[in-house]
Amino acid sequence: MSNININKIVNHIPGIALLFVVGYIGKLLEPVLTGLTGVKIEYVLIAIIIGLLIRNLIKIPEVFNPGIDTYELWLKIGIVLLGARFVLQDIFKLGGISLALIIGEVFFATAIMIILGRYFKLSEKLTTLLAVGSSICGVSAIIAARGAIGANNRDTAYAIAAILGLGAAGLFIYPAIGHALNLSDNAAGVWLGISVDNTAEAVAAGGIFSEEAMKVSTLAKTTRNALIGFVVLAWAMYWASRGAAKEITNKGQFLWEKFPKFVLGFFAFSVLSTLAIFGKGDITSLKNLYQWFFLLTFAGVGLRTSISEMRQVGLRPFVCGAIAEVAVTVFNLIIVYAAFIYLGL
Amino acid sequence: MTEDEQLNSELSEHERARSAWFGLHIDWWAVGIALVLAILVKLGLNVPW
Repeated sequence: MSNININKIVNHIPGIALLFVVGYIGKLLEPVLTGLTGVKIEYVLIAIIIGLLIRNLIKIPEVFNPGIDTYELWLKIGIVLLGARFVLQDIFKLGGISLALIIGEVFFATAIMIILGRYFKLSEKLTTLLAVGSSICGVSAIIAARGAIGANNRDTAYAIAAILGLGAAGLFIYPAIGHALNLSDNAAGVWLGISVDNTAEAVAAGGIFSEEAMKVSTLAKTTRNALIGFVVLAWAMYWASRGAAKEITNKGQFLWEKFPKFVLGFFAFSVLSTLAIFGKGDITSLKNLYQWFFLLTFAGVGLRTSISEMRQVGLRPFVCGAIAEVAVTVFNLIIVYAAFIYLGL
Repeated sequence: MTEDEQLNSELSEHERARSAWFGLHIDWWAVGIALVLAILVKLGLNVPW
């Protein structure tokens, strides 16, 4: 291995250590705070809050930032491992329900964002980015769409900050609403997975509700992530038809490039589980492994959520995004409620 | 640094962090590491929580 790669690894160690310390403190405090309050307080929430406090109350030295940015790698390893806890029948049942609901959600979120974008006089490309971010997959979708629709960096940075800010707010509010409405773990998991835009926050919101809801919210969000290429392709073709973006010549290649490959890993682990490759003890170890990886992720969610950076987004895009998010979340709640309660799922 | 340059540099840093470590897409790293861990578990690695 070259010196450059060794340096890269060393540069990441302080931040990864910080993720572990913050996450582990959350895990240690879970039984303490639960005992003191009499209410089950998940380590997920404690780790995120500790991270948030550190990020926003003290200036984190630059040396920690490269390692903090690795939270997304740990998230994706965790999601792939979590695939082992689903047999394919579960994937087709819950994933199928999620897929049907997500298609409805994508159309509703896109329509409401376009209407609000016009009302708030946002640029059309910023509106497109917010529509992509809120309908499908948060930051990953915005970045995937940026090049495809030829959006500028300023609009992209605004859209990312708005989606992250709204995701952070939803993280605390939605699980509480789910409990107030007495949603089942499955219903809450699907609702959170299709409503919270960024993957890390969607997994965390499920984890704050319950461990079982985290499993389901991750499945619903992974299904949503799988659609990223199709939505971005549709927008890219729209902007190309208006002469404001490059024509997509090879659509198959475009879809493959935009497809999140960790979804394949999640599916592969589910196939292995269905084939009974993993015994009961193996599944327990894999579950414990993904909990450790998610522990690092949740610490990262708090540590990278900077309130001052979100202020840069400007009031209009943020208010527009917030109104759309509330509308989409209520819409999602209604369709999830209808699917789970009235259809008896 | 102008506000635009600041936003551009923050964005490109964010993109760099998201897109790659050590020259490979992080999604493939995630799948590869998960597979290695699963093999270790099959070989008897017991992970406590």
